[in-house]
Amino acid sequence: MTEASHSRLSSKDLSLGYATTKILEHVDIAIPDGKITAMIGANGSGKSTLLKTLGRILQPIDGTVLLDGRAIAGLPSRDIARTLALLPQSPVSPDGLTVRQLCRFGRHPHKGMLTRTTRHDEEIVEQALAATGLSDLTERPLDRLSGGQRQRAWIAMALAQETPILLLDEPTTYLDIAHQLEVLNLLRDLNRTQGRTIVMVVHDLNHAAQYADHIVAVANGGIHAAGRPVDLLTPDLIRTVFDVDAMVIPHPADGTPLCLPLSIDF
Amino acid sequence: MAASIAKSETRNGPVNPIAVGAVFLVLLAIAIVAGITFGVSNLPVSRALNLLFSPDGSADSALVWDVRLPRAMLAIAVGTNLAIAGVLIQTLTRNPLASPQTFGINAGASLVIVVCLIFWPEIRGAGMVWPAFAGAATIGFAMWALAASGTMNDMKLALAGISIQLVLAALVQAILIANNTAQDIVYWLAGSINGAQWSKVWIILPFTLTGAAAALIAGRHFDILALDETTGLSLGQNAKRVGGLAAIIIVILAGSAVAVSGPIGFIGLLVPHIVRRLVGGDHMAVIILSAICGPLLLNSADLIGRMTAFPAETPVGIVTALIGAPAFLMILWRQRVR
Repeated sequence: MTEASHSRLSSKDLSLGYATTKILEHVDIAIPDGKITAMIGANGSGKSTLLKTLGRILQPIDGTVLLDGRAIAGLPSRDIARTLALLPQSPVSPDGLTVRQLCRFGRHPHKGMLTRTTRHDEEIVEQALAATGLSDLTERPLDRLSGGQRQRAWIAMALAQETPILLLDEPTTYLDIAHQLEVLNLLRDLNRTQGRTIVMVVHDLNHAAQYADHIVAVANGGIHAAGRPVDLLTPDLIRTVFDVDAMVIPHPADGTPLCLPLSIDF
Repeated sequence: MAASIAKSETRNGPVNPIAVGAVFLVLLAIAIVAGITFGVSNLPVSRALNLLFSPDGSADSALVWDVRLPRAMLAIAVGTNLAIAGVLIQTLTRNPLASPQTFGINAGASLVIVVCLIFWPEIRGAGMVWPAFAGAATIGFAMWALAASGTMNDMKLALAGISIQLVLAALVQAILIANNTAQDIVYWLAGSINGAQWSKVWIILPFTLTGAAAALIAGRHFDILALDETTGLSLGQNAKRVGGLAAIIIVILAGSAVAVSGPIGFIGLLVPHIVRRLVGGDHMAVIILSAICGPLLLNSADLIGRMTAFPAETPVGIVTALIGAPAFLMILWRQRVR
C-alpha cells in the first residue's frame, strides 16, 4: 500500500474551466477511498466541470489530477478506464440498444483490439445486471425502460467496467422522488457491499446529507469546504454556497442533517 | 416493401439476428436466381440453374455466365458497399438521416469522375476508382469539418449534406451540358449495374472485402462510437482514431461503389434502418446483416428495373429511389410516432 491508499483520486492546484474562462482555481481535493462523496454547489458553480476534469473528460487549464499518485493526463485512456468510470448527466444510446448490450460495453477497456467477449466478461456482465436489479430486463431496449431503470442500466454498464472509482454527474436528475431514491439506494448498496468509491454531483442537499460520507461544497471559484455532512451542512454554509437562508435540524429518522430552506432574501 | 418493414417491427425487442440472416439469405438466393433467369430472353429456371452449375458453351450459357451472373455479383458487391458505408456514416455522425448519398459522398465521387472523364476520356474501369476516392474523401472531410464545428444539429447537418449534394449534381449537369457528352455518362450517373462485366466485379471486390473485414473487426469499437463522446472516453475509447477509421472505410466502400456503378441512392440510407429495427444496435450483427440486405435490395431493384420498362431497362438507381423514398418516409413517420 502506498501513501495514496486512502485517496487514489486527488488534485493538486487545479485550475479548470472552458477555453479561456476559469471556473475554479487552486483546487486541492482528495476523494476518500471506499466512501461516497457528494459534490454540491449552485448552478454554474463548476461542480460538474470539476467532476469531468477529475474524470479526464476535460483537460485542466492548470495543475494536475492525480490517479494513484500519477498525473492522469499522462496515462493511457484505456488504463484510466479500468480504474475510473464516469457517467455523464444525459448519456446517449443508439435506438434499439438492449440493457445487456449496453452493459457489455462496460467490458470495452478490458479487451484488446481483436479479443472477443470471454466467459469471464459475461460473468461480470451478469453480476452487474444482478447488482442493479435488471436481470429480468436484459433483453429490453433502453427506450422502453422507466427513467429509473434506464439510469440503473447505465450504472450497470459502469459496474461492468469493474472500476474501483465511479463518478456520476447528477445521477438523479429528471427522475421522480421514488426513482431518485431507487438510484441512490443502489449507489449506497454498491458502496457498502462492493467497496466502490463513489463521487456524485447532486442538487438535493438532503440527499447529500443522507447518502454521502463526505461532502465537497463548490462555490466562489473554488472549493468552499469539504467534510462530513454533519460537520459541514450548517446554515452559514448554505447561505454562502447557495445564497439561501435555511435551518438545519437532525433528521427525525436517522439523525443526519436535514436542511429546511426558509426564503430567498432579495 | 414498406408494408413488410412495418409488419416486421416487433413490440418485444429485437429479433434473433441468425434467423433474420437466414431469411435474408434465402431471399437473396431467390433474387439471384431470378436475376439469372429473367431478362430480355427468359430462361426456364431449371435450365438457368443447370447452366449455373455446369456451363455448356451454348449461347444461353454465355448469357448466364458473361452477362447475368456478373451483374448479380456486381449488385452484391455494390449493395454490400453502400449498406455498410451507410451503417458506419450513421454511427459516425450519430445521425439517422446520414448516408453516402444524403451527405454528398456519392455526389463528390461522381463529380470528380465526370471531370476526369471529360479531360481524360480514355479512363475506364479501375482508373475511375482513384478519382472516386478523391471526391468521396473531399466531401467526407468537408462534412466532418461541418459536424466538428459544433454549430450543427442532426437536421442541419443532413440539410447541409443534401445542399452539397444538390450543388454537386448541378455542377455535374452543367459540365455534361457544356460538353454535350455521350449518353453513357448520363446513364452511369443515374446509377446502373447494367452492362456489368466480371472486370467491374474484380475492380470493386478487393475494396468490398477490405472494407467489410475492417468494419467487422472494428465493430465493437463502433458500438462505443455510437454512444455520446463523454461515455466513449470514459470507456477508454479514442474517438478521433475510431472515427477516422470509420471515415476511411466509408470512403473506400462508397467511392469504389460509385466508380463501378455510378451513384446509387437509398440503399445506404434504408438498409441500416431496416436492419437496426430488426436486430437492434449491435454493430457486428448490423454490419453482417446489412451486407446481406444491401445486395438483396439492390438485386431486387435491378430485377424490377429490368421488368418494368421491358425491353428497355430502367437504371437501378432510379428504381432504388422510387422504392426507397416512400419506404424511408414511412420509417421516419413511424419513428416519430413512437
